[in-house]
Amino acid sequence: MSLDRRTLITAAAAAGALSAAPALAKETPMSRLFPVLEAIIAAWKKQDVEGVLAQVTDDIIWRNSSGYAPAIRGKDAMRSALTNMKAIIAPGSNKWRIFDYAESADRLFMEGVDEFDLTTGQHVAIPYAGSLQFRGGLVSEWREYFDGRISANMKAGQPMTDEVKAMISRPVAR
Amino acid sequence: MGRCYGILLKVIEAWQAKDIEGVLSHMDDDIVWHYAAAAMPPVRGKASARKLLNRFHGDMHAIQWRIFAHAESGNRLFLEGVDDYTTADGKRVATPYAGVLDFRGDLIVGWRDYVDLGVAAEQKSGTPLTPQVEMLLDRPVAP
Repeated sequence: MSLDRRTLITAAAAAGALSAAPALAKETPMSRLFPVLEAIIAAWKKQDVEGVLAQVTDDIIWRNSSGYAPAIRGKDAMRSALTNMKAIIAPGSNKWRIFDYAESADRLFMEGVDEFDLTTGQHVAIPYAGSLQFRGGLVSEWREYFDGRISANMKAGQPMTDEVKAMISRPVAR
Repeated sequence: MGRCYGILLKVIEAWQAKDIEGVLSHMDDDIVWHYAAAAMPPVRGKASARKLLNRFHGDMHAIQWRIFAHAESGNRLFLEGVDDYTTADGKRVATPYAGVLDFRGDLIVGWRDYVDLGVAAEQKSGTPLTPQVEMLLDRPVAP
């Protein structure tokens, strides 16, 4: 999830792009951290800012770009950022989803897409990968990596590229 | 250390030695390599991967590619790291990224690196590393 992300679409894929990938690696049934991310996604799809914040620590560090913008630090700053995002995302348009993930002791790695419509009508889809670091069951650091020019172009009204279509036309992780 | 991560370390070692055939020896013939996922079309097949590596070879020097964190699920490896090198004209490029590698047996068959090419372009133009990039790089290397 980032300031730029969230969305819609069901791109039918420039199919072959990911066809060489083996079947999705299934998570273990002991998955502990992924349910927290699922709760965040469910809250954000309802534009429930406090529901998202309930899953993060007070001193959360949210690095929601691959290094092109400074980190958002602390729950209050995250609340402001989410509130600003909420104002520009069309309600009900959010199709944020995760394609695959893995967990280590206190970290969840994921690959997914932020897909949403802006209230001004543009459709945005940003494939990304990232990691969540946990402390006491809450997310304490959140890092996302993607090419910021993809979101900038789509916000400016440019159509989805074949590369993006291919990346987001994948089954959702379970 | 996970099985897949051990293989990636061999790839890194080969690339730091500029050993292109060593890198390719860990790739499946059918590899689909998204070296800038969603931003650029992928490279498909080992022959195309060789061409890309040859292109990189000429412009990447003092390679300090390193991984900060990783986890595996089945035949898939997730990682966070940095591509850190000096260009032929002396510019430092250090792009934080997250990657996902799919394995078939011991060979990489899918490779997706998520990186902001805008950050790399600024650095290649001579802009110093930003504080937010420096912070992303200021992490211990994963064992």
